[in-house]
Amino acid sequence: MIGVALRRSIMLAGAIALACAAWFGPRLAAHVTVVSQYTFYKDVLPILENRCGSCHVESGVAASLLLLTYEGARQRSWPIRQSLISGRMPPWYAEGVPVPFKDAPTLTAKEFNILMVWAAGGTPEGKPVAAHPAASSRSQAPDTAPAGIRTITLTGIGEFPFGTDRTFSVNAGRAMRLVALRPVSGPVDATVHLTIVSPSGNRTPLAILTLRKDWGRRYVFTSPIHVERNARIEARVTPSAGVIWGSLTGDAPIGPTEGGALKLIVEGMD
Amino acid sequence: MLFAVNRPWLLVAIGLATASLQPARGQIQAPVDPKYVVPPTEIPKTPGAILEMLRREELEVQALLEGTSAEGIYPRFTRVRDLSVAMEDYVRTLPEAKRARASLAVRETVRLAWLLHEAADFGQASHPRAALQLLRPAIAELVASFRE
Repeated sequence: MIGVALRRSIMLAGAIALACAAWFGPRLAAHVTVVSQYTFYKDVLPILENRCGSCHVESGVAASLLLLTYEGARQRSWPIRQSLISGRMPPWYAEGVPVPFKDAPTLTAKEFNILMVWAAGGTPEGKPVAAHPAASSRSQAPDTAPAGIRTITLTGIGEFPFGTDRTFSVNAGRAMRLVALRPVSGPVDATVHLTIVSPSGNRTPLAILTLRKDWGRRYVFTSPIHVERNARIEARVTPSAGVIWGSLTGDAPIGPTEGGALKLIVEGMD
Repeated sequence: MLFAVNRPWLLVAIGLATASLQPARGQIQAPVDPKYVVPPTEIPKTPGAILEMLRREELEVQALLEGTSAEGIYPRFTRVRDLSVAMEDYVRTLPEAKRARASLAVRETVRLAWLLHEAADFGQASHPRAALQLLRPAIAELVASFRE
């Protein structure tokens, strides 16, 4: 009887010691390398409102992933990290190189870094500040080319094995002012580097696109780009950082072998 | 399990202990392990000096790729990230025709620096290696976008 009571006492003391050690001692983690100096209300919320607020609100297309409250964002800190690193968010997938595209919701490097530091560095809340202006919905470029636009179709048919680059090109024919790009299909999650190659061999980077399943958008340059007569529009297809990230996490196990032939429509005016 | 069920106080104690391991609202989950502490990056006052530091970081990344040690991954992440973010302020000083390329290069380098950080957390050598292979040309492109 005494032995049972003694054993219970020892176990009780051990359990209490375990609870105290866990409660008061350092929190367990593999290692932590980032501590956020940024807080949700002061630093993060303004960025989320400007860049993500048109979709990640109750009335938006991503209403199931609310980000404009502290709890909503904190609970999704890991998906936020994954989405930013893989380039899936904000969902734009294109960079105009000589001139940017219209209406691009791109994060600046500073904004990107603030979100990542906050999400990886403890998600501190901070003190609520005065209400920010509500995010406005972005205007989207129309998906079809307006009248008077000449189109050139760049196609690339073949295998896109992981880790290899493939290059395709099309002759632009007459000189033109290039105004927009309209990706139609391609190997999913690959990156396409588009370059204008003049007849004399000068190369002008045109755009970098990440091929997605939900493509269909028309990317309009903020100002037209001159393309010489008989210049070539060249597309180099490579695996994107998103592919690497997906292969690491298993989050998006898709590679550039999916999606089939590359088809990209280039729009210009004479 | 039966042992624990017969002893509700033990369940309470274990519950208390495990609950305390969950990240608390708005708190840091763990103190920074001194092993991974990287001193703050001192940002030079001129873009040329920042680019020169980035060029040296590119060589360090190359050395990491050629070596077998993972030491140096977090310093590379921190410095490349901080130097690249600092270069964003200088994009507007470039001629207009060069700004889009430089802006993209800065953003891509910061993103890939973070990819290295996240990949290093997986604890397998192949993951940061893949990230380093992407980061090295990104740094080179950033430097070239300002210098060419």
